[in-house]
Amino acid sequence: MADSDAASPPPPPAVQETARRWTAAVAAVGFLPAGRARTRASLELLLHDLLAALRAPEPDQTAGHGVGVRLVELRMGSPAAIGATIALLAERLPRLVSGASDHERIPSVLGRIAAGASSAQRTAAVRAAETLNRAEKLHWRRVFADQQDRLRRQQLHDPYSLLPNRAHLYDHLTERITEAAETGRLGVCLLSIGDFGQLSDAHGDALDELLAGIGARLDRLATDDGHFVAHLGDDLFAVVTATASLDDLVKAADQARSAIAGSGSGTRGTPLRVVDGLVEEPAAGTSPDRWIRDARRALSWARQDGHERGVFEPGRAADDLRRQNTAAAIPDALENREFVCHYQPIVDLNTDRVMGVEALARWQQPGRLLVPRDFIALAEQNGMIHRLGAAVLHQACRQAAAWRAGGLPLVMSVNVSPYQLTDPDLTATIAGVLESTALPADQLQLEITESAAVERYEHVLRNLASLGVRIALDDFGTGFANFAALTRLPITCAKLDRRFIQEAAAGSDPALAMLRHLLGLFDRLHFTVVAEGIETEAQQYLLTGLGYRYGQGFLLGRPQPAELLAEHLR
Amino acid sequence: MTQKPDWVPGGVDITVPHAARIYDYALGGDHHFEVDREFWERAKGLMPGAEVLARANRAFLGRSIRWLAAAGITQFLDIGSGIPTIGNVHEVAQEADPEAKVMYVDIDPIAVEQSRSLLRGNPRARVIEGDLREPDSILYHPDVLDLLDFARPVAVLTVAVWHFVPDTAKPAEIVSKIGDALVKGSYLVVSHLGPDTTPAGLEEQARVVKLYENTPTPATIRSAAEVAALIGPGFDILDPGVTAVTDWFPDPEDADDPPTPTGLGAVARKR
Repeated sequence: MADSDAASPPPPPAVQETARRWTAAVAAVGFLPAGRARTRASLELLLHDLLAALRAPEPDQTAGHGVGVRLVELRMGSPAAIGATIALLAERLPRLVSGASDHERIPSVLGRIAAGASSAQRTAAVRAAETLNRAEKLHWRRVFADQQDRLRRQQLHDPYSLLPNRAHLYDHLTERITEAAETGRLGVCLLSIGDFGQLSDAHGDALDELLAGIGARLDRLATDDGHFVAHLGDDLFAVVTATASLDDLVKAADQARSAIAGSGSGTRGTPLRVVDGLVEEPAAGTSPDRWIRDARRALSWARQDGHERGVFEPGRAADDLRRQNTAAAIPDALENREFVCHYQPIVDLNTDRVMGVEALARWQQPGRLLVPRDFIALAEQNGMIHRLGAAVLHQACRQAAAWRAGGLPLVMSVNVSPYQLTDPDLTATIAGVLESTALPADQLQLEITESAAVERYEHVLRNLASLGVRIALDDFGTGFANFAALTRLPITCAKLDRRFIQEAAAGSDPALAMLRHLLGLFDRLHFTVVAEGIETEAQQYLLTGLGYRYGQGFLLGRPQPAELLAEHLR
Repeated sequence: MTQKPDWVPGGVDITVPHAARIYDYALGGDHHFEVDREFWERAKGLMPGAEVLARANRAFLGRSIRWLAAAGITQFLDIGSGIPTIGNVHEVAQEADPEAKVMYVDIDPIAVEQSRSLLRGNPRARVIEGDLREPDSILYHPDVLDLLDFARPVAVLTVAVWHFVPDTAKPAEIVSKIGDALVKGSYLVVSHLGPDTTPAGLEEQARVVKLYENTPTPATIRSAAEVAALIGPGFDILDPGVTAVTDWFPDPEDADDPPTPTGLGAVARKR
C-alpha cells in the first residue's frame, strides 16, 4: 500500500495538523480499524493529492473523486464520516492554498469527494448485497443437495444394516439386465437367517446391532469382491454378481453365508444358521421381478426340503406352478361339484361278502380324474380341506343312506384329515350330516391316519365317538402311534398297512411275525382289523390262514362309482 | 437405533440473528440481514457501551496481529472470524508480510460463503466452516493442513468467541487441545466479554446476555482470572496479562478512546 512511503519528505506542519484534525473528526463518528496513527498517515497522503490538484496550473476536472473512493477503501466511507470529512476540508483547505483560482476550485473538489465516496460506497453496498445473496443461495443449494443425497440414501438403504434396500436392488438389477451383453450371465442369491423369529426374541435391542454388524460385513464383501449386496428387510439379504456359471454364484453365496454366520458369534456365541436360494441364468431379456421371484422360490425349496441351499430349476418351478393352479381351482371345483366319491369294498375274506365300503374322493376334470394324492395335500395347505372333507362326507353318507334304504346296510368309511381334526366344528358338522342324511351313526366309520399326533386329538375323537360313529386307524403300522394311547382312545378298528401283507407274502419272516402278533394284540383291544392292499390270491390265502377276517384291495374290488359298485353287489 | 429427523438442515437461519453478522453490522460493514441489524439496535439500547466495546475489540485484534507480525509470525488461524470485512486479519497481516497466510474459520455457513466470496483471488487467505467446540475438526482439516505449516509457529486467534462457548463445552480442554497441535513459540490471542465494574453495568450486561439467549450463540461472561484459567498451563500469558483490550499496547494516539473494562484481552505464547 502507498500510505507508508518512507521516501517522501515529511509534510509541512499545517498539513500535518489538518490530517490530525481530520482523523479525530472521523474517529468521532465511526470505527477506525487501523487505529489513529495509521489512519492519519493515510489521510496525510490523501491531503497531499488534494493540495497538488488544487495548486496545479490546469484544473483537473476529476480531482477529489479518487480521494472519495479511497476513503471508502480505508473504511471511512460511512455517511457520517464523509460528512465530517467535507465539513473539515471546507474549513481547512482554504488555509492551505493561496491563489484565488485555487480557492475557486475547492467547492467542486469537495463535491467530487462526496460523489466519489458515495459511488464507491454504493458499489460496495451492492456488492455486499450480491455476496450475501450468492452466499445464501450457494449455502442453500448445498444444504438442498446434501438433503437430496441423504434422502436418496435413505430411500435406497436399509436404516439398520445401511445396505442397499429392496428398491435399490431392483434398480441395480434393472441396470445389470439393461447393460448385460447378449451372452452375459447373472447370479442372484437370497440369504435368510434360519431362526430369525427366535433370534429377535433373544437379541431384543441387540438385534439392530446384529443387523448393523451383518451390514458392515456384507458391505466389506461387496467392496472387496465387487458383488452387489442388499438387505430386503428383517432377515433377508441378497447378493448379485456377474457369473460364468453356477459355481461363481455358489462361491459368492458361500462368502456371504460365512459373513452372516460369523456376525452371530460376535453377539451371542452361536453362529447364525443361514438358508439360501440361488438362481443363475443369462441376464438379457429378463426382469428384476423374475430374478427375485425365482431366488425366493429356490429359498423356499431349501426350507421345504430342510436343506441349507436351494438352487432354482425351471422344471420344479413348473411343477410348483401346476400345483398352485390346482390348489387355486379347488373352491370353484367344490362349487361345480367336480368332487365325487368312488367306493372301494371292504370284504369278509372267508365269504367274499361285502361288509362295507371306503369312500375315496375323486376330482373329475375335463378329460382326467384326479386322485387324493393329487389334491389333498394342496387342500390341506390352503385350508380348503374343511369344505372338501365335509362335501365328501355328505356325499358318502347320502350314498350309504340310499343303499341302506335299498336293503344294503354297508358301513361307510370316510377319511378324515388330521387338519380336519383341528376344526372345532367338526363334531357338529358330522352330527349335522348324519341327521340330514338319516344315516345311523354306527354305519359311519371315520378313518384317521395313524400317527404320533393322533393322541393330541383324543378329546376330538371322544366327541366323535360319543356321536356313535366308529373310528378306524388308517395305515396302521406306519405312523409310530403311542401303543399305550391306543388303549385309551375310542378306536374300534385298525386298517393294517399294505406293506405288512406285501412283505409277508413275499417271504419276510419278521413281517409274518408282526402279522401274527398284531392279530393277537387287536383281539385283546377288541379292534376289528382290516388288511389293506390285497392284490393277489396268495396274499388273501396267507391272511385267512393267519386268522384275518376282513380285507380290502384291488383283488377284492377297485374303487368305483356308486352305480357300478351297486351292480356288482347285486 | 433411534430415528432422528436428521434431514432438517442445521446451521443457518436468516430469520435468527447471528453473532458474525451482528458484529459486521456493529463495525459498519455491509454484510448483514435485517434481523442482525434489529438485534444490534436492541443490544445497543440495553447496553449503550456495546458499540464502543465492539470497536475496541476489533482494534485489539488489529494491534495484536501487527504485534505478532513484528514478532515474526506469518501464519494465522482465525477461529470465529465472522465476516472478514472491516479491519480483517489478512489485510493487516499481509500488509506487514505479503507472504502471510491466514486461515479463517467460522461456524456460520453463510458467513463462510461470504468470506469465500470476499477472499476470491487471495490464495494465502482461505476459509472453512468449523466449530471451535470440535478443535480437531479444525486443526486436522485438510484445507488447514494444506495452507498452514504446523511445524512452524502459528498464531491462533480466538477473538470474541470464547464467551460463546459455555462451561459445559469445557473450553479449557479445547484450548489445551489447540495447544497440543502447536509448536513452541506459537501464540494464542484471546478476547472475552468480562463482567462490568459497576452494578448498573452488570445489569445492562445481564440484559444483553439474555438477548443472546435467542441466538445460536448464547453468551457466558468470564472474569480476568477465569480467562487466565481458560488459557491454562499450556501457554505463558504475556505482559500486560489479561487486561482491558484498550489497555493492551494501545497506540499513543488512541489513548483518549473510552476505556472498556468489559472487553478483556490477552496474548499468550506456547510453552
